[in-house]
Amino acid sequence: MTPKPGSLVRPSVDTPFHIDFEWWQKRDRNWRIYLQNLLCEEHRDQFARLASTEQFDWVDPETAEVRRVDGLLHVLMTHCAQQPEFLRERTSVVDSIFRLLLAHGNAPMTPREMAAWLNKPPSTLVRLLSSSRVYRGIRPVGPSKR
Amino acid sequence: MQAPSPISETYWEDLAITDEDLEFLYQHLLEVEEPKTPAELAEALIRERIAREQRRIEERWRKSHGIYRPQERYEVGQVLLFPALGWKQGEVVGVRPGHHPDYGDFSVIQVRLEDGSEREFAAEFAEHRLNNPPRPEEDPMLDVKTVLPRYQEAVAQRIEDALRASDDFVYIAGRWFPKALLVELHPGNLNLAEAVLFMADGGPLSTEEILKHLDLPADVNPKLAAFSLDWALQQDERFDEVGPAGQVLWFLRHMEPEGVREVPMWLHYTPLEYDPNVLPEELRALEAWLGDELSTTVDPKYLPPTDDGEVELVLIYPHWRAGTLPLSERVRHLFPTAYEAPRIRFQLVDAATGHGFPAWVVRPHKYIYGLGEWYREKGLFPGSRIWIRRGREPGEVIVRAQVQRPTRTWLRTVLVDENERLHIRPQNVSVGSAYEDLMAFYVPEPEALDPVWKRIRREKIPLEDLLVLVMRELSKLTPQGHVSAKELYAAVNLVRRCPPGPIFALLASRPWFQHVGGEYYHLNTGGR
Repeated sequence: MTPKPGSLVRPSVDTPFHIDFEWWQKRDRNWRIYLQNLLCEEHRDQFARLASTEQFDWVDPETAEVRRVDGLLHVLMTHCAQQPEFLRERTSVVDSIFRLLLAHGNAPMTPREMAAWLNKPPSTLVRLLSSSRVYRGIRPVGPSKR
Repeated sequence: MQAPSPISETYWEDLAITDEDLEFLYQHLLEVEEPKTPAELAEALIRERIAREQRRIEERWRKSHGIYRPQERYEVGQVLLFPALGWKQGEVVGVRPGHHPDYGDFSVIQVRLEDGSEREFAAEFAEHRLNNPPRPEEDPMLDVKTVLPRYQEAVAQRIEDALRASDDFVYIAGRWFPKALLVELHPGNLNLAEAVLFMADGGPLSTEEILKHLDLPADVNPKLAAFSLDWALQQDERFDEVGPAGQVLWFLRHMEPEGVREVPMWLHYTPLEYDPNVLPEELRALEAWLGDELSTTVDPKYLPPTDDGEVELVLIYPHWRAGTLPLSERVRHLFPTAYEAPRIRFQLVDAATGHGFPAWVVRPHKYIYGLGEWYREKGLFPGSRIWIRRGREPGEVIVRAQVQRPTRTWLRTVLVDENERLHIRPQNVSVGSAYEDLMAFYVPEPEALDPVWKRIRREKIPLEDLLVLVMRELSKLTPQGHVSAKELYAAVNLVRRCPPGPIFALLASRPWFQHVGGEYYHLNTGGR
């Protein structure tokens, strides 16, 4: 069973996790600064000229419908996190998990799935993600989100 | 990448038959003047729906300022068609500059769609697949060749459901037609049809054969005339449709054999409640093997595969006496079936002689009728083994018994005394066919058993009492007094019709039936 966020049920290697941006931004005022640091060089320059809260008009490639999106998050997930070096950078395990989730469009992933990408035992990842401290909003997904 | 569809991707899966569709089907049948199968109607409706959708799109096209293309510049008030939204129409109600550092300069139009919702779309946007929008005629979801193989069956089912719910259509032998358009047949026509069938020994005759004798107007479409006659005969209790699926054959009901019109006394069964979960594994397997048509809880894992091979059955007294065979799960696939007809006349063929004889599938009561004479000819008796397989011709079934030169052997013989009490005694009798040892009973005077059957029914003797009585009789015949579930089932059926389930459930749940291994039980007389 998938544990509810904040539930006392202990996550396992098959518990899906994602970045809960809402949860994170409420608890960390510097969250945008952290995200800005992950931008690729081209977009880091661009965002130096723009407000980090800038909204973009994203055009759906199928229907051409326009949707207002958070510019920073959008660019980060659709461009910067797709660059080959994004996952190769030497970072801490928790940053690697964060980057991995971004690179997958923040689709929920289990520690078992993450382990295949990060070359770490799933149990290590579970232990890290189930500690009392929540790293960068990475939390188990609610039952309806997967 | 596939072009977006002008209609919803689930258009055909979600298709609901509307009043407009029913009107179309009515008109279509009126035009073709022929009853049609659901599959044929589905094809017609799919073609009509495609044409209807194309007309709808063309109409919108005419009334709009054209198809939306992201590269164009638009102004407030323009009406556009949106191919990626199922060719919905929308009016531009606002224009603003777009903002995305990666896209360069572009604008955003606010569009009010026909359902009242407002959405935004890119304009003056150079790179987008919709700058080359699809044309409705290119769409696979509006192409008969793509839609028919994928959706014809599902649409046919929807049509059937809708036509069944309508009073305007009639159905017979897999075809539909508007009731109001049937050729009217007067009572004289039907009386003549009765006479034609009577002259043919009751039937079976095809509708076309009967039609030849009726004086219908020459300008009537022959298929419509046949359908109308089928419908009229179906409404008249004198006639019975007895053809297998796909074939309409008529028979005079009163000339059908008695064992077809009425369920023979020996096959009457009032279902008994019991708990099938108490049956141990070996009795479940035995129940499946016995192939009783009244068994309702047979686990499919015990049934042999229903291929075209020969199936072996052991004859029990009720079927032997009634001249019938069980239409059980084990043999059902070998016999002809029908869409609607409850009784089907077909040909049984003796494997030894190649001689054919008429037989009937009585579907509601799950038996095959017409083997009485064959049983007598072959010298079969309760417990005889019979093999059944499909014949070479469609609807033909081959039946085989292993007949040999009669030899004398000791067989349990069923006798009835002057007080209508049942006795089972070994007697040296002459036997000329293969049989199943434990289920074989020689019945020298079947008529003598009839009063016992009637008394058991009249006095409503409980199955359990009967089982004890029969077990007591059978116990006397072996030194240890052990009785197999198989022979108990066959013996109980000497005096009342009962499938194995309720008998086996009693054996498995009552303490006086002591299990002594396998399918064997011992009557513990001290316990009851």
